[in-house]
Amino acid sequence: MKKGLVIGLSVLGVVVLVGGIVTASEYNALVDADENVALQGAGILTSLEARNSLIDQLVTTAGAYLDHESEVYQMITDARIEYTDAVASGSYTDLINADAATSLALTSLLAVVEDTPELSGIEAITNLMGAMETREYVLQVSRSDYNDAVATYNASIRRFPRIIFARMFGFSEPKPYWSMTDGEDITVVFPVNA
Amino acid sequence: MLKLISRAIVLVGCFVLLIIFGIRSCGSHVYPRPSSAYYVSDFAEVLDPATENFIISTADTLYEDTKNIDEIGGTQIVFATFLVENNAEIANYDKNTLFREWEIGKNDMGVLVIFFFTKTVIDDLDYYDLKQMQVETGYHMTPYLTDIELNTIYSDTLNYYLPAGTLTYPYDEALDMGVGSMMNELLNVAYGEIYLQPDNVVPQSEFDPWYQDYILDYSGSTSTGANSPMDVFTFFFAGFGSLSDKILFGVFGMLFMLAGGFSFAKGGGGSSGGGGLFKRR
Repeated sequence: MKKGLVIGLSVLGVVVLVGGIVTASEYNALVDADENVALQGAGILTSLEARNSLIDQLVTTAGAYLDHESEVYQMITDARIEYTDAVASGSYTDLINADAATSLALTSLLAVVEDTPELSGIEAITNLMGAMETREYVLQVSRSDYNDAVATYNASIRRFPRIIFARMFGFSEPKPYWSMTDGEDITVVFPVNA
Repeated sequence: MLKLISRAIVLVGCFVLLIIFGIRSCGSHVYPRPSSAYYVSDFAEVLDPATENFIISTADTLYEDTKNIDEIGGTQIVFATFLVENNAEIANYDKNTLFREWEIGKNDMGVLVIFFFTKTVIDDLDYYDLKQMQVETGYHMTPYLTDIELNTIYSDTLNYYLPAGTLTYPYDEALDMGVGSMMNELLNVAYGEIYLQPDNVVPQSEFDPWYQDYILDYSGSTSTGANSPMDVFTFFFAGFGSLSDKILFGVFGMLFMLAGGFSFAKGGGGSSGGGGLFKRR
């Protein structure tokens, strides 16, 4: 009887130990995946800030040449307001929409600059356009890295048996991909001669 | 009989695994492997071997000198040239993906310079048009080599010797002067601004006349093996590839090491986030 109890307790102990190790391991994996999404998201925010700063410089440098382009001005202003509100709300969905709006406004701005020979001939403008292209590429890489991290996370919380631990620890909500509502990538179209 | 069957099963299993790993490793890479020289992959075959040798030797020295500086990491500077049909084809190349596949720099301290050429035949002679230069910098290299600094280096070196719109041909001195001069400026940033070793900095005014003589003396010298991708075995033996690839090729690698061993120039494991420069011409 005593021997049976010892064996029973030993088996229970092993089960509890293995269960604890598995639970801790699954929890840590979920935390790592969640943190990676947050890290990649922070990378995008840094790039968005840098892009807004470059847009400000471009608008300031272009100055009076853009006065008659009220539509482009309005697009930039609206996109900036949308971005500021999105940062304040902290909502990724709002940030994605603001990013898409800014990209659209920037595409229009770049087209205006390219179509205005007085502007495209200014060295400062050319340099800013070059910097903008580099920044936009960094942003594109950041979005791609973020989406990879989201794909890993979303797949992870749906896979068995991790789905059990995900629900247990509150990781059941999938993260949004950084793309437009129709799933298309957000892109800025650079003029051919930029 | 049973023993024979089980042996056959093991053999067939190993063969199938070999094929699976082979297919997996081929599929996981989008771009050509770097050349066996690693620091120069002149797939367009436009650089003089003298320039290739200069880049390979100085880049290797820089990496060997810096790879053990843990607080910064080892800098690797890699040049690649590609021949394209037209401007549109350049869009098929993604500098960030190439950088990550070649794992340039230790602790993300890498620099990848890519030149895209188109070829034109005039009077039976091959002329090359440098259409675009792209630079990708590793995560930790980007603060040292900003797009503004890279733009200045480009203007003072490559564009100075080979102005935009100028056709070149294989082993053209103008192209080699521009590329060599650019390499020297990148080395100056590394030694002067990153590792704070001013003794290793060579001012451009001293370098260029020396390099002109160097090219004249060594032009057309021995090929460096920079014109074609490294073979598959060397690629994995040099440390690239996935974990499963490494396990498979590691077995062969161990055998080679036990037989005496040899070393390859290889990537330091670096990654990048898109920093650098695009320069259309």
